[in-house]
Amino acid sequence: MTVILVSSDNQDFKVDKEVAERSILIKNMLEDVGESDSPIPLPNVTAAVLTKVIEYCEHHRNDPVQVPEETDDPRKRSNDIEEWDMKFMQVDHEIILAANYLDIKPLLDVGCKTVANIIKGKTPEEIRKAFNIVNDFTPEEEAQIKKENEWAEDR
Amino acid sequence: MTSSNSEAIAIPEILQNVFLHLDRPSLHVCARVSRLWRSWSLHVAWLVYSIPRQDAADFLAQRCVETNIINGASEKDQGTDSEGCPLTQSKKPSIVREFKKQCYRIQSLTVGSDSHSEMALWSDCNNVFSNLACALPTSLINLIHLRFGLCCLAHAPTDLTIFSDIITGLISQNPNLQHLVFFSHQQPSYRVLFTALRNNPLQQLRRLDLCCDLNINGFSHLLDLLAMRSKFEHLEQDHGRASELTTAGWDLEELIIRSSGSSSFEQFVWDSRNSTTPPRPVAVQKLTLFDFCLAVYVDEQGEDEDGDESERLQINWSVLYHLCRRFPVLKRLQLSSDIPIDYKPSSVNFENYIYDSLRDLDEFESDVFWHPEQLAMAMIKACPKLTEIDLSHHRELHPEDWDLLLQHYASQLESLSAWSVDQLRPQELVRLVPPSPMFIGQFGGHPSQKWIGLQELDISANSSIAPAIHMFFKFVPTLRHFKALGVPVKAHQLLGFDWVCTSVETLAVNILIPTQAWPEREIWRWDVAKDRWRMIGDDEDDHEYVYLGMDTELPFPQILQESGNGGRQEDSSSDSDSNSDVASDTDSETDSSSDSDTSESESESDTDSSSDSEGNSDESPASTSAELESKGAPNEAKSMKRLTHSMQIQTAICQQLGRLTRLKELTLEGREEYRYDNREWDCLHLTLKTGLDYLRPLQANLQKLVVFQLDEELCGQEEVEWIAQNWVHQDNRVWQDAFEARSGSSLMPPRSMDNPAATLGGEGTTPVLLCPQFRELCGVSVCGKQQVSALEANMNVAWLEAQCPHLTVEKDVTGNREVFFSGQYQDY
Repeated sequence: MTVILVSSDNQDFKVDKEVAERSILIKNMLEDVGESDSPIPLPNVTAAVLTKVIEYCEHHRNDPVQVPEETDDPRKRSNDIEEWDMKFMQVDHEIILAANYLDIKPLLDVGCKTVANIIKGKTPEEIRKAFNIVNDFTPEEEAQIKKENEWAEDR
Repeated sequence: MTSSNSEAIAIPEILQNVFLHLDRPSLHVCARVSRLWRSWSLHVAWLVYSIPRQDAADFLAQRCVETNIINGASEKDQGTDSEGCPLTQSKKPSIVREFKKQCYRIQSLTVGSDSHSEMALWSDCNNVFSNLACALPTSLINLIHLRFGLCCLAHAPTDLTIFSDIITGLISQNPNLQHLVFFSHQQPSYRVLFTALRNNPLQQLRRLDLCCDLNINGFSHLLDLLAMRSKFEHLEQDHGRASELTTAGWDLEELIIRSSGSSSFEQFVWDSRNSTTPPRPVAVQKLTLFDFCLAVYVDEQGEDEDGDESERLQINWSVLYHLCRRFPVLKRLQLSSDIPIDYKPSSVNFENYIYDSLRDLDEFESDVFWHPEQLAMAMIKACPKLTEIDLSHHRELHPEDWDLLLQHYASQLESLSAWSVDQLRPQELVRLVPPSPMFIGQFGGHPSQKWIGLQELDISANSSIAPAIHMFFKFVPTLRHFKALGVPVKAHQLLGFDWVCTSVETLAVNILIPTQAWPEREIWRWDVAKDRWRMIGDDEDDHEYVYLGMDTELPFPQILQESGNGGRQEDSSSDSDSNSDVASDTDSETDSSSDSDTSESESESDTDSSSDSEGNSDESPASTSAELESKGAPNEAKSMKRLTHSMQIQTAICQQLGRLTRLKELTLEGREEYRYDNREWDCLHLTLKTGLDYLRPLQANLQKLVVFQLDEELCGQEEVEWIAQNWVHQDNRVWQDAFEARSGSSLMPPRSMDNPAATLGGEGTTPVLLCPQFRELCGVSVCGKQQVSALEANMNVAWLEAQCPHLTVEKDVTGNREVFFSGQYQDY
């Protein structure tokens, strides 16, 4: 069975239902709508990004559904990204936004891992430059924070 | 970076998700980027915190006469930070200050350690707690997870006091605790914990994990404490149905007890037997008792003075009996050793590992103390909702008990672990196998269609179970984890149908490859009257089973000659198959779902069968066989024919294995030239000539291949190249191009020992960063085989390691497979 997804720029995408339901958002929509041929609008996702998201979901269509592990530590690893996923994420980071909106947790995790790997090893200034972030600390605040956390940053 | 990156990072939930992938030092760097980043990075940085044992005094106590931050450890003691990295003494006051300032953020706290080596070290630190008083930070109040692994110095009363104060304080200050792990080797320590639990409601507590010596009364006291907290209510049921207990109130989902000591179970049984009031139920859904020891029964039973055996068979001597009565809402019951967790694949096979680990228990191997079915009936009555059962290495249950248990729980059972259980026979195990789809279709349905579906099955080290193995491959599609280490299954029982368990992620199997086309029939048929699978020949009136002489050699199975596709055929389990048409025990209905016959064939000459072999067979051995025979070398011809047959069966098995594309971990066992039951068996060799290429689809998810107990030949040049091409570098275009350019064929130019690890692409090329799925190859033999010398084997494996830097290769250098004790493989 196929479903039709409509991007924000009104482009239609015909996708297998099994693939589309990798997105929890779409899956819930389909459950609410029931058996219907109505296209599903995705106003927050452009055609270009949706193409990539569908490519990801197709590639991972046979992956088992992730079950949250019972663990005391919520922290995650960032060194276990599949090769295909790594190359995939190099293209466009708008995918992270789309994955968050469409509730595709594995894709969101891959995107966040990729960003985390970019952050590792950089100084605060390098991070600001990489992500176009404005430093809103006052000089006094910055000095105080640096002094307080020096022990934590040194390895 | 595009502006979309900053947009993505600006969303707090995405930012938090990113930070969850960073270590603490990186998080502290992020805390200096901006105010938003600081807020979230500190939140994540402080979610999880670990206080090493030697620093516990600094963080959680203070000297009675001084109020300044003190250094409770010796100067030699470096201590570690929350990531386990060594810190200098000068930084410790800053760390402690920061901890006390930020600890309100901590959700998961570890104090001390749960490792035995750590505990031994702790005992060397004398009087660490002396002159100290508990001084928990008042803002340490938001814990959800607490792991407490301090060992107190019991001979010093002050140490016990402060230890007690710390654990009591942590529990009382954190009413929202959900997971509590308590680890201690000192005997009085459990009383401290129980007192703290008694005085604090901990309404959110879901998991309690204890590793401590509970002493004589500890287990009984624990259950009484938990029973006090448990609330049950009777569900309103339809008229005539018995009321059902459910929990209301404190709902401890999981209770785990390790190393409780046999004395506590002895006392528990004694208290339970002699109690005049009904047992107070405990609202726990998952119960795990590790290192459960059977010896307690023998000690406790004693002997009746008159030698009356009936006195020795009362099940109210059974710990299992009393446990079930105390836990009426159990869904998971695990009473076994944690051996499978400790066992790492090696040249020591699993059966020997169990034998060595549990040798003392096995003197009771043949003793089953209770009347058949009594214990099972008690369990079913007491715990009707079980969905996960682990009674591995248990000696209490008769075959009749297993039959009752599996019959009752089959519809709801998701997981069964029964390794090394000698009283579980194939006839009982197949209770978990539904009838064939053909039968269900023919009869318009069957209750098994509503079964939850078995997902996990571990029946390792039960060689007598072997006749039932193939039934799970054939009729149980829900399996995700299947282990049958040391249980040899005949390959031709696994052929003739497509394996339905294509969702399996973990598979451990021992496959015997026949070297001849021996006559074999299906040994199971569905008994409509009894609504169960029955082994042909069980009934005295059953004349279906035909014995053929061992010397009779039938030609190659017709199906493998024709299809060449693993012997797949349609499910011919209907009445139309004359070979399976059997009258049932009752008169009216016929058995309709006898399994397809894998080797029923017309009688042909041996010569014809060899020359007619088609499909996946390598023509060379077959034609060579005919040639040898024509030259008057019948023994060599026979040997070649057996090789042909073995290779074809191996290929067919590989075809089926290759369909299991969700496999993450695969363990294969088997021995070549294995003599059993007056027959000679072979094993999977995993070469290109015996079907290795059919395993290519496993590249999708396979992470680990274990072949320690398999006489494989993966060390050949073609085989290691195949692994690199198809399981590691399948998406690496650069590597593939270089491989093709250098080799031009499947054969690589000879590699010298001087540079066995020359990376494809030449020096100076930037290696492509890869993260392939396939990460572990365990047990590949480098001792040399017929075709490959030991030197070549080592060179080939070295090449593979160099080409696949992410692949961990564990070599087996032992050469000889360890033999289990005699009598391992029973005749069946």
